[in-house]
Amino acid sequence: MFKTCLTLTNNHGKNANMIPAIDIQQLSVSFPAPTGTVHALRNLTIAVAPGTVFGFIGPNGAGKTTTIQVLLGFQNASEGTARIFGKPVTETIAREKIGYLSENPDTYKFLTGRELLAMAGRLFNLSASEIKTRANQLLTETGLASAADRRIATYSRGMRQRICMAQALINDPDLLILDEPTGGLDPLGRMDIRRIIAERKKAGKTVFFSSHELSEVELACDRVAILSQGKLIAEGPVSELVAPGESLERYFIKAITTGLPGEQP
Amino acid sequence: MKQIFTLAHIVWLEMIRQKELYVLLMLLVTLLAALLSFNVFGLAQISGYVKDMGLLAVWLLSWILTLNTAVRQLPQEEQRGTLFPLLAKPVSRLTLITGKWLGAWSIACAALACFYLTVWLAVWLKGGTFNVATLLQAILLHAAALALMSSLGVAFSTRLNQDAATVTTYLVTGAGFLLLPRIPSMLVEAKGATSYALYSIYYLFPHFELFDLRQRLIHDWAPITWVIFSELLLYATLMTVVFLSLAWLGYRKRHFSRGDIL
Amino acid sequence: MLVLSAWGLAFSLAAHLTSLPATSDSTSGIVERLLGESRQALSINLFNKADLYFHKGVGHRVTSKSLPGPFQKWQAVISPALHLHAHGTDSAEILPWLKLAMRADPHNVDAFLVASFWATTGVKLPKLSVEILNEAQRLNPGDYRIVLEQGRLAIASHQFDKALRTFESALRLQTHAPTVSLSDPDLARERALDQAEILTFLGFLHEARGERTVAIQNFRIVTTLFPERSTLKKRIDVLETGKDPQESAQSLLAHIVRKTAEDACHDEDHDHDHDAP
Repeated sequence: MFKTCLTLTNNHGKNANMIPAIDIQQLSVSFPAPTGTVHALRNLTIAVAPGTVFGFIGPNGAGKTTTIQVLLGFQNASEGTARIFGKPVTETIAREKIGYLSENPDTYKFLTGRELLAMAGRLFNLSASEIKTRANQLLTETGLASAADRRIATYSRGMRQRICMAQALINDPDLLILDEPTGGLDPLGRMDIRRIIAERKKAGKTVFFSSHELSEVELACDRVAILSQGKLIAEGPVSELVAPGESLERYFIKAITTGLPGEQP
Repeated sequence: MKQIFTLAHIVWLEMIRQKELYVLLMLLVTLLAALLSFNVFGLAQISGYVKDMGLLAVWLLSWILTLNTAVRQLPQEEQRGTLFPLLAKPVSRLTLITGKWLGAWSIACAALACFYLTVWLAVWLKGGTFNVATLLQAILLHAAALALMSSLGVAFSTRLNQDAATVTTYLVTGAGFLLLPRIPSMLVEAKGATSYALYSIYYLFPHFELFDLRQRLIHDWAPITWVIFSELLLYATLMTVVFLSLAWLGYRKRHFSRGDIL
Repeated sequence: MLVLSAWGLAFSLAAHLTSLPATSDSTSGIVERLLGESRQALSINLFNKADLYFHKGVGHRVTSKSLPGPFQKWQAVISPALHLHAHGTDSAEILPWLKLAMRADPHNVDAFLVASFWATTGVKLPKLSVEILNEAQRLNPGDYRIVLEQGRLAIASHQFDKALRTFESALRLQTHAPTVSLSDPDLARERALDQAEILTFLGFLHEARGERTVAIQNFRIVTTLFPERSTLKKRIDVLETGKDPQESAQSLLAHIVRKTAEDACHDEDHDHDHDAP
């Protein structure tokens, strides 16, 4: 019943001999703690094909955020490798095609929305004209055009989340990494996130997101990976993992509670 | 370079909008106003004490501004979570450190220019003047000292939390001003371990006192030779590079976890 | 038990300390009260600052070890080492620090005396000098040094009768001054020097009035205190023979009070080179 499918497939279901958007091999992360060594990740292997919307789910402490932190270079792997579009995540160049949005809309509150986007664009080495065009487009898309020249300190939480999303998209990233993107958002905010994911998918871009919201994942993702206690316990297309008439939530609970049949080599 | 300037620009915008700089400037203006109103037995044209206390205030205020700005940059990014979107961009740790240092130093230099201008104005109102060449040297060496101070602050902040880094940087820079010039005289009588400790401090700590030309400015002495001036600038540059390199070494492999701060 | 006894000791100490009378006097302002006893240290510091201004920013030389490396060479270039003194209007720059020293500690008599000296010799305002000394006397009524300085000022303005009365008053005050601190040899020598100065002035003033006997008495006490003063001994001899000395008492008095800025740099301060600027 549980399956581990490591074949690279894009959202059109074709096998693709192309460089994976994310290629994680035998990744382990451990760190010392007062109670002994904590193994946040153990021998994780995942490959995400370009153009896929990939859901990354698991209970609290499963290792989802740790995986994202390794991908973004916040943490180093104890063992194994991780690559983004073929480039090791330890190299700065690996992040050139990435957009990242976290659960918390942490940003510079003393900047205006437009300034934040300009700053982000310059950090991606975009030209002034590109920044201007992209910023205007994103401000319109996120419904922040009228608040663009106001300080972010005056924005509501939902507006902050949207400006952070706009910032993540300033470089039109080939890979969008979302860490619990809908956490703490109202239904309208969730709808915005869902719309953006759908638009990225339509544009052939890759989206990798972790979430507790299994219904969101089921709706948006081509493939999912389920993590528990730092180990991958299932990975594959939602349609293949979930039996007809069953929900992803039901499958997830069964997978977490019944053990690790799909353990990684 | 574009990334470095962008990061420095963020520091500028923050400092300008958080108004900390204006508070310090107001403090200086208040002090100078008090000095100007000080009645020295009804005598006019006495400006030495305005120069003296004004320049002392400039050093103190620039010291506070530089250290507070430099030391808080990296820990603050981490605390408010803005470090993560930054590191998720193609920004290297070295670029981040250099950009933050440049921002802290350049805003301190801008503030320094305002401070000196204010003191010059106060001295002029009292009928005094500065030796222009000495003033130019004093400002440039002061700016060099601030570069060194800010690199030291950034270096400590890569390995210590903000409070600890602030205290340590204040202690090291304070010792650089007050203790280091006295070490040669202390060594006349020091023996054994004390002597070795004093030698170590003398050669390892940055000599901030070398960048202080206040006495020359106050007492209208001529500028120092340009060769020595250049040597001092070179010393400041080398020390700044050393501390920024240490900062990079301390930061390049550092792990960051969002969970730690949430 | 130990904790209890420690607490008891601490309580008794606190009770004793709080029962001590406050040391502030009626002359204390808000700043002085805020600073407490530290104002004396501040006042000394400000006084030293005035000394630094007198030497145009050149501090006193300190014995130090010569160390390899460029730091000492750079330091020597940055901190001027020539021995210069403030002259003319430059000397006015000393006064703010002295005024601050006086404010910080109204009992720092040296600050008043030096301020008075510079008011006369530096900015040429004898009136200001008198005002400073009057203020000093109001705040420190028993200090003979202020009266001695007032006597000098009286001579400088050729008010010889006033000077005589003032020096007599200074001598009385010095005789009644507390002697507790005279265990300090430097202070004892300073006292003796001051006494000799008062008596010398008094001697010349009496001599100028034709009161030779009194003058000789005063000069004799000085030569007893300082037997090496041969010039004074010769003068006593001349006066005793009834002849007129080569230089009159009045011109000598004028010469004595004509202090220069160079005189103000005491011999013991000569730890730096007297080079041309």
